[in-house]
Amino acid sequence: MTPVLLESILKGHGANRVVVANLPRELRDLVAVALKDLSIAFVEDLPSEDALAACAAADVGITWADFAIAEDGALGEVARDDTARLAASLPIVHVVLLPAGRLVRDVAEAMAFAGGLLRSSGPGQRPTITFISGPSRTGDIELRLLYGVHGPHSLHVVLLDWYEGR
Amino acid sequence: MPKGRQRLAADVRRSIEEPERIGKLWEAMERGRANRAATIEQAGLDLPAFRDRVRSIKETAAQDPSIAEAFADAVRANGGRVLFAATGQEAVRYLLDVCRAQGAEFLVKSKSLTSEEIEMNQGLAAEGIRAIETDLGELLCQVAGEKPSHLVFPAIHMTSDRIAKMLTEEYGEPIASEPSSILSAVRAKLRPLFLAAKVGVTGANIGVAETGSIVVETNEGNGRLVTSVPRVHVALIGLEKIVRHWEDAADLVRGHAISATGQRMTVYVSLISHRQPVAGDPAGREFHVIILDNGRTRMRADPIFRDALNCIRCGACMNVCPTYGVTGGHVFGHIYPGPIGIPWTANVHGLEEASFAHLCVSCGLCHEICPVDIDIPFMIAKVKEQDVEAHGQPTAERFFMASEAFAKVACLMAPLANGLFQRGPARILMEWTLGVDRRRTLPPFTRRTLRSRVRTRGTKAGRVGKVAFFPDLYAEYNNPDLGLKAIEILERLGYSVLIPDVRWSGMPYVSYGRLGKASALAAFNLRILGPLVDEGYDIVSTEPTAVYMLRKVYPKLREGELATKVGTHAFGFFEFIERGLADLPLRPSRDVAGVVGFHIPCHDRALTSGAPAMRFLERASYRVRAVETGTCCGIAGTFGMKSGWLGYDLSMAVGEKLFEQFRQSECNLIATESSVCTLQLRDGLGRAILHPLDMVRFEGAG
Repeated sequence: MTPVLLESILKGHGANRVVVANLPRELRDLVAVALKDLSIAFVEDLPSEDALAACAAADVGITWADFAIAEDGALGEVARDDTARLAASLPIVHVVLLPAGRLVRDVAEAMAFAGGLLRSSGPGQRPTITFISGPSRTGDIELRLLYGVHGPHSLHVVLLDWYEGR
Repeated sequence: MPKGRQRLAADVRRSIEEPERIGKLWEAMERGRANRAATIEQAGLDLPAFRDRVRSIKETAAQDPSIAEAFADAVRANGGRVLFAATGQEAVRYLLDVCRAQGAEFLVKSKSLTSEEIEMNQGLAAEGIRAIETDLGELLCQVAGEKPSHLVFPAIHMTSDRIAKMLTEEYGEPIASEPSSILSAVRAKLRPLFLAAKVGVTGANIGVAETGSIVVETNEGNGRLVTSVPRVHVALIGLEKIVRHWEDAADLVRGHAISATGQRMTVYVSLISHRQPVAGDPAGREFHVIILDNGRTRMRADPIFRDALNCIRCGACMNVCPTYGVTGGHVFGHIYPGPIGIPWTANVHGLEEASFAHLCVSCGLCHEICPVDIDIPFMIAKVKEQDVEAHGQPTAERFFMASEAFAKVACLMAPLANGLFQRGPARILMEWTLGVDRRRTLPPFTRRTLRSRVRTRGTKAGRVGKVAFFPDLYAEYNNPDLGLKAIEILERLGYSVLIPDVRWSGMPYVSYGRLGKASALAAFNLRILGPLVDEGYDIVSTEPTAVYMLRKVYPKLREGELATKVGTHAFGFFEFIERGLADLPLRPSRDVAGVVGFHIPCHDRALTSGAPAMRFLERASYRVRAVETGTCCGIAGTFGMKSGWLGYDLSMAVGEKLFEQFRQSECNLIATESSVCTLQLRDGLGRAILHPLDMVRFEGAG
């Protein structure tokens, strides 16, 4: 089911070039199979000087969320390598895979969870954690709500009810 | 008039005569308030408890210098570099060194008010380094060569037509004025700059000491790119923004979004502790944090201005400020705009830049909306005090601070005085000599004041309780019938009533920056009221401003037990009688067929928001609804009686928004509690404005 869903999202956007980052090992094959007809790059495998260029040239980025905040519809992205953030921010379409069981209630719980993770990671080993609650947006021109100003114009969240997460 | 104020008056005039200068500001403010209210409701937020928590978090952060030290240690332990910058110049010099070490000719920035405070872009440009703003609103201001006019919507003063024309010229390619076309053009133009940037600069909404981390919140996602693409990330953070634990940061993240835009959360909330490698390669990835003082340590030591350090920069105060709403941030601001911009400007940029303090009308609404419960009006009063001490005080302000003495004399001369005050040559003379605007209706004075009439009438002893009635100026010298009616109702409900030998409440002393006089007056009144409270008296007034002074301002002017005690026993008239309302045989004395439009006085928004007065009218069979813009009617005590652009004209420009709502409301009666709001609505609408007590009679009575 999940590969079919992914394929249909990407078809809907007429995607050609896809970058993938930050996925758990066992999901990489699944994505590779689903997107076999497209140009797809697992950016953390590239030489670092090519990773940025690949993300900048892609029209879709597929990344991973470790958890989500139920009340706010926000994703919790945990990045230990910046390819995760580049693949999520540079393409116009962002697809996030999220294990359905990893939900916290609200910002307070999310912050407590993130804080715990940062504390336990130790100096210099801390991940960059980002709460993402929608596509890139602005109201700076006459208060008109517009999407896709710098980051993605579209954000898709694929909930995985069959996968527990890493 | 002092020079600073002359310039200000000219600026105000321009804003009012050329409203296109401020664009959609008023609409942005209304939407900001509405979204905020809706989200608070939807999220089921317990606002008072939330404010208490945020305040205690911020107070600790702003006051404890060891937190910044702990933060710096943790940043270093993560491999980052830290600079404590005493001044803006030091911060800019450090950044220049970083850029030079990278061979960077430009850097990309996400939005940072702190960087504007220290005029970072100008400092870099002088040394040949271009700082490129990437937040859309900031970028538009940068291209226009203008300052942001709003904290959250920096370019709200620009129309899309103007933006398209400006960018067409800047980018040398045609751009249509459709906002989505502008957006595409900006995205395309900035993308290569992001990709080529060697240095990225951000502010930080929060610093967290325990892990040496910062929180960067953006909606556009530019913060994500600025902190991931370039090799070097430099974060600039005011030392007041650092909290100890992650648990403290949660309420701030919530507070920023709700108060700024009414979002539940900002779209991207990034918790950054150090750089991450790119595809496993950590080479050259640097993280620098500049912790900025720039006057903050001095503010921390000031008993009044330390409160400004609690600001979370959400912009809610400017979304409710009436005169900011018609003048805009370019007039009502220096670099920091709006109400909270006044104490910040006076402290970090100097008093000379803070003369816009005199646009504050002392309505107090910025304090009510502040998510950190910051007493912004009191700090503004302090800035005004410093300013009038340095630059002098206009005659009109001196005259209105003498209102009590004037009222006494005018009553002795009534009705002769009333004839003079209505229209004609005497008013022209008053405008020339005293600065009282000739267009403003003044209330008539009475030959027989409330106190003398109560002496003649006598009072009844009651068994339910004891009330000290605080008439303030209006019920004493202008409309004693109102005071008598209030006393009659109190007596019917079983209270013994006396009028203590207090003076007026003295709001103009606060509004015009004479805190010494305000404090002396407060001391005088408290000396009389304190013993009465000890004897079991409650203090009741029909003037919302008097209750506001007793409950909110006197405790600030005279810190201590006495003022607190008196404050907790001070009540608005309708609030006080509400318990006995069911026992009153109220009948309407006016036509009840239509709807009564009720105006909530600003000072009552801090107390009861007009609810008891509206229930009183409903009890007398009226249908009532509040007609409101959500902000002040514009007169704000005596502000709108002063002549010219820093008085009447500005006051009426603010009022026009409310007048329009009343015109469209088709209310057949208009009511309000405040004596001065009554004048404003009458002058603006040309209709009779009633006090709720004028609209009832008692069963069996004539």
